[in-house]
Amino acid sequence: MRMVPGYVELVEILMACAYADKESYFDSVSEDLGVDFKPGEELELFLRFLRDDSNWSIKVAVNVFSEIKDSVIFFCDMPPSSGKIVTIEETMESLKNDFRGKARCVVESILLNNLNFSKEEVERALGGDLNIVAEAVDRASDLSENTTWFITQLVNFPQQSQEILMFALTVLKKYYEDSGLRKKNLGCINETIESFGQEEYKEVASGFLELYGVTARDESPLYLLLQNTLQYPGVRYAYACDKQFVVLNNQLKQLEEIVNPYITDHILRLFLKNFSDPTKMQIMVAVSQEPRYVDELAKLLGLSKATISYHLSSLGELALVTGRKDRRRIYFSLNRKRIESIIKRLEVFYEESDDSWK
Amino acid sequence: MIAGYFEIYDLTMAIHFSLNTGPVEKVLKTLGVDYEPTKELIDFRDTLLQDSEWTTRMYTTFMDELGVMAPILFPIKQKMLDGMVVTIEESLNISDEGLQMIRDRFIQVLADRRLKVSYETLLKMLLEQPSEVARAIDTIEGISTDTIWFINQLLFFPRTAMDFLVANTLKILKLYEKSGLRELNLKTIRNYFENQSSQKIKDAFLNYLDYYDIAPDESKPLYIALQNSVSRTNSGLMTYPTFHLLIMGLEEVTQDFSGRIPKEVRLQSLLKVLSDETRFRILKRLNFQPVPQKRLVEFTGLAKSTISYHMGLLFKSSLIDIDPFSNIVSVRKETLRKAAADIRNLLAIKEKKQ
Repeated sequence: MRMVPGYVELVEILMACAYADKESYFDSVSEDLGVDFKPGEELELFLRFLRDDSNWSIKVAVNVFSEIKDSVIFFCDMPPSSGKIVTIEETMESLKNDFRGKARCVVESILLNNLNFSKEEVERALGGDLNIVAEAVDRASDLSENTTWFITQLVNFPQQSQEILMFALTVLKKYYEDSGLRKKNLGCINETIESFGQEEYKEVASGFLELYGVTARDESPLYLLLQNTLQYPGVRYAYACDKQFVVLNNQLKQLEEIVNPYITDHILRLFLKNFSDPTKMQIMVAVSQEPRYVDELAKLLGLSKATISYHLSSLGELALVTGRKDRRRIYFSLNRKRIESIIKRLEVFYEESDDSWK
Repeated sequence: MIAGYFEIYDLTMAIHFSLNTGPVEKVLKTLGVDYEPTKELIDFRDTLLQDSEWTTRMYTTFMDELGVMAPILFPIKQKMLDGMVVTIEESLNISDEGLQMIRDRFIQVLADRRLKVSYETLLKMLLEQPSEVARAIDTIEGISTDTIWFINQLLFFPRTAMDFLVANTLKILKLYEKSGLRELNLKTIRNYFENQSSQKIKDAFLNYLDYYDIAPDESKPLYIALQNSVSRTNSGLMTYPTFHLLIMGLEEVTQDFSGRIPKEVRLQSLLKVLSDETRFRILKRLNFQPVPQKRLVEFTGLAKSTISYHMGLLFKSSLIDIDPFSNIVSVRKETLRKAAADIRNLLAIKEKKQ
């Protein structure tokens, strides 16, 4: 499989919107992952611009971008070759030329990645009357009203949705620039691209796919999209329209530590910290018995679906649980292999007297 | 197993709290224990800390540092019984005979636990090379010059030392009385003994042992002494040449250990304590080699009170053992082994034999 590391600027805007939409969620997950995330002054300023903007379509766009950010990425062209940057201007230009084509990929991605349709179901749906898709989306209980509205518009009124999208992107681009976030991110990204070799990317990405149990398709190139806005991107892998990508943190060193099969003290401590949380412990015990999906866990533990989803995000990022798609649901199970090596490490702690503390 | 009340321990606890308020409160907070010191305790602390007389400082310092010596310095004269209340006045022993016994027991513990020589050797040294003994005491780690002074007094001028001890105990007792803490503690404890069977205390003790996974040597008698000054904390199980002693908070008996604590809850609080970066480093250091507490201050570069907070948590979670006589801290590997086994059990992950 060919791997193409690169940078799509719109991804950063989506991250910033996601943070604006679900600040406390991102803060909680960052805390669980042991990353000390503080939005810099640039992101703070971006958030303030958004708060001060009372325009309805901006509010809707932020909410939609946050909720289905993985699918929205399909509005963009992917980097043409390794280390290339796709600017927001280029994305917008390309959207002007082929909005329908891009919109179709976004819808396909929503069905595949957000609503967990199987590939066959998607083909059937997209091959026939698009209204069927709109209806399916409308019935999906996991999406907010804004998002189902947006998807319906995309299917039924492409012309109007294009206008709304272009308007929102123009405004968000202005905020992104004026807040200084664009300049800051570009600076960091250029540094990463220069200092990290192609082989290193491949190594990290392969470790990443293996750790999270993602099966990428051999026939299409895998784009490795970097992002610098958040410490935890909340997007892992998506596939649609013969394109596939993973979103990687710009702090590749951090990622390297996690994907490395050698369990460091830091990873061991993160496990202990997360396992000591009563809810996370209960979830892990429940999925150790049999694979379970979100609704099932929510009922079992007497908690809201949102709460369960948050805990699963953290556990998933730490590769303690893995998800598998089956009949429109994601079944979570315990990553026994990973946990086994973590417990081994805890056992070594008292069996061996190593002197690494020096 | 005998459960009683020895008022001197309650006073020792109040002194300990006064000198370590921050760490004590922080440990309980981290463990999720909802503890609020009584007004009387705060009053006692404030007057105690205001007393700037040098003897007060000396006395409180060594009472805090040598708290575990209390059963030796204040021996019980009568046969111990369940529900027995022994006041401070009753524990003050100033007869010549008592004095000799106290000194003798003290030498035993000092030789064995601190100086690492035999009892006979130390006795001989005291007679033949007293300055050698003084020098050896000087090099004991983790105790202050005030405590070194008191140890020297007890060995070479036992009468002066005991007079000092009695006079100052009576002085601090006045503060203890004036703050209302004495009355409050006595009333609460007496009330408890009148209305509850001592079996409840023993049950709480068994739950405590279960929680900490401790198995004391059953051939030795075991004394449980209640204290009410800091009612939600305990001394940790202390082992003496001829007996075990645990000083338990009254509310630990009525609340914290009144029932068996579920395995999951215990594991959660243990893992929470273990996952902190500083504590993890401390444990790694101790796993390599047990050291006195003082060395940990040098190793981590943290303030003494911060170390004392971490030690308190690690100790309360049964992750370390602190030898009360030598102050040497070691990792309790059994707790770690059991934690790993508990995680395996909960998640049904079998151990692969290699």
